[in-house]
Amino acid sequence: MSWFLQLVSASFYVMLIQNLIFSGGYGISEAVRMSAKPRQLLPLALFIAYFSTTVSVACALLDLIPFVNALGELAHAGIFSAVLLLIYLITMTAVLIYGKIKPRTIRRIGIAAFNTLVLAVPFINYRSAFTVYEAVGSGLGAGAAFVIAVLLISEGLKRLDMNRSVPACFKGTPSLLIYTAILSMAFAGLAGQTATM
Amino acid sequence: MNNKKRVLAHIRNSAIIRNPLLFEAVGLCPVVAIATSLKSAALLALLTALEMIICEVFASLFLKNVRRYIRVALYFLLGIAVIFPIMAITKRFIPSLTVDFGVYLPLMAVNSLIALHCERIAVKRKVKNSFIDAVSASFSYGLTAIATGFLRELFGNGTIGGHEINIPVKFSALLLPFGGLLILGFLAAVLKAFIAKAYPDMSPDYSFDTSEVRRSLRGSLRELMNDDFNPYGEESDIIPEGAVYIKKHAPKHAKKIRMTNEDTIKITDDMVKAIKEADENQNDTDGKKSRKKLKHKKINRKKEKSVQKNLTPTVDETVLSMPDSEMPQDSGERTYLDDFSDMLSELEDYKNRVSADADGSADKDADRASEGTDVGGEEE
Repeated sequence: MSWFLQLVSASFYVMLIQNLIFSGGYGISEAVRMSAKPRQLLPLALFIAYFSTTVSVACALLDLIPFVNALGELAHAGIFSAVLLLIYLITMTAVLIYGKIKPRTIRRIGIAAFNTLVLAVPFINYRSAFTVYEAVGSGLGAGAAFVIAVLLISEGLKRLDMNRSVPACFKGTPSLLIYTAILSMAFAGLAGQTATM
Repeated sequence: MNNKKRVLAHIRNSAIIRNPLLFEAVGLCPVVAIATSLKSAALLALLTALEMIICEVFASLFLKNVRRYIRVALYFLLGIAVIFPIMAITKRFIPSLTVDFGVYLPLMAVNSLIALHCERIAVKRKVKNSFIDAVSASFSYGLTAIATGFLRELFGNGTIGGHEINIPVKFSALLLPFGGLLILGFLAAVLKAFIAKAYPDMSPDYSFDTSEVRRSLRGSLRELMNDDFNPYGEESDIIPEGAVYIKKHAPKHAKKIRMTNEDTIKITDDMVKAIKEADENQNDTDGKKSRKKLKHKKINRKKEKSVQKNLTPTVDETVLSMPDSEMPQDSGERTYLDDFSDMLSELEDYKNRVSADADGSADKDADRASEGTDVGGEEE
């Protein structure tokens, strides 16, 4: 049962307490851009969750090997990047073999695979010394964190877009960035983040 | 001379009107997380410029005929090839900077700014143009990052380039990611105000399309998977002149809602198909087909007669005015016609709201004016 608790606690940590997008800024560009495309959220979030979980688990499993675990941060960065690239290529091969691939699916897979959120998850696991179960939880949590972030930003964008009292120079991305900053501030407060001077 | 002008216009567009950080919202992660001081922001700007120029030139030279899914992986590999040696060098010679950058330095290999510019420009244009684009975009990105770093260091840390400055209050929270977003938001507003003054015929809003945001999340996963996906605008099968198209193909409706060419409405290929279907119905002058369809869909005789009288149904008549009970129910799924009708009704609502607001504000102004005269009268 402890494995389940590990998975859930890591998932909630990454999703809510230390929301990777708002607290760390990982994948914030994708979240902000996708907030204007709410209909694309579900498919993209599924792909992001898939990549973050698989990369996270693969890297956590590799880290169980003593030789790999003893390597420095630079070598780890190389390994994580190689794992991401390998999983992307395997996924693309599988999709191409399936045969019914469409250009939009390729776009989705490309954006879901190569973004800072997906690559950040194994680094966070490594730095926090997460177990394999916790790595699964953090991978799934990253996907859920992305969904939460996009839904929150999208709702704000919708209201800002319809609000006629927003000054002209703040319309569009300026107000959206400030709104995202306020959300980020709320999550930083929840996580108890403090600035190190 | 023309070439020079074109290059200048391209630089202006890339650096100011379509500022990647402030208006396109790409490459935010490193700036928000790393650019907390002038020094780190300058290094970030330098690294991004280096990575961007190398990637764009390489993409323009060698990747034009490579498949998209391989290209995306190659951008990542190129990013790694640029970032990792720099990581090794900084770790050896400037270890403090490696600590400052932390996990974000290797993450720069997946900078969305580079993928966007490579896909949108480098693989479609000549090397020279790609190089100019890379330089201008990385210049504007770097300048914005440096401005952000400068302001965060000044107000968050009370220093400039490490030198102590006596400021009365320090906002150390500005060093957190939300501080970066906040400063970027205000910088974007300042730049937008400048653009409105200096280039009144240009708008940065085109670089961040929010037209879809008013549409709700609906439909099955299968339907969503089949939707067009174009988050960075690199390739588009969307017809941009939607308003013009509707004016041409559904003129009655366009006239009814006082549609102008400036109304931002986008029509996909599927929508075009829907409009054409509606047009075919419109041209169905003998009305046999529509009557047969209506019979088939069990519509009562009275309503059938009323439809028979209107043998030239327009898009709004067939799609919008038809009560839900009379809508074709055989498939049980939403069709593109439904999407199209929703889109038009949303636009109509918006127009009504705008005109109501305008009327309201005009009334208020009139009230104020009358109050003013009353007060004036009393004073007199």
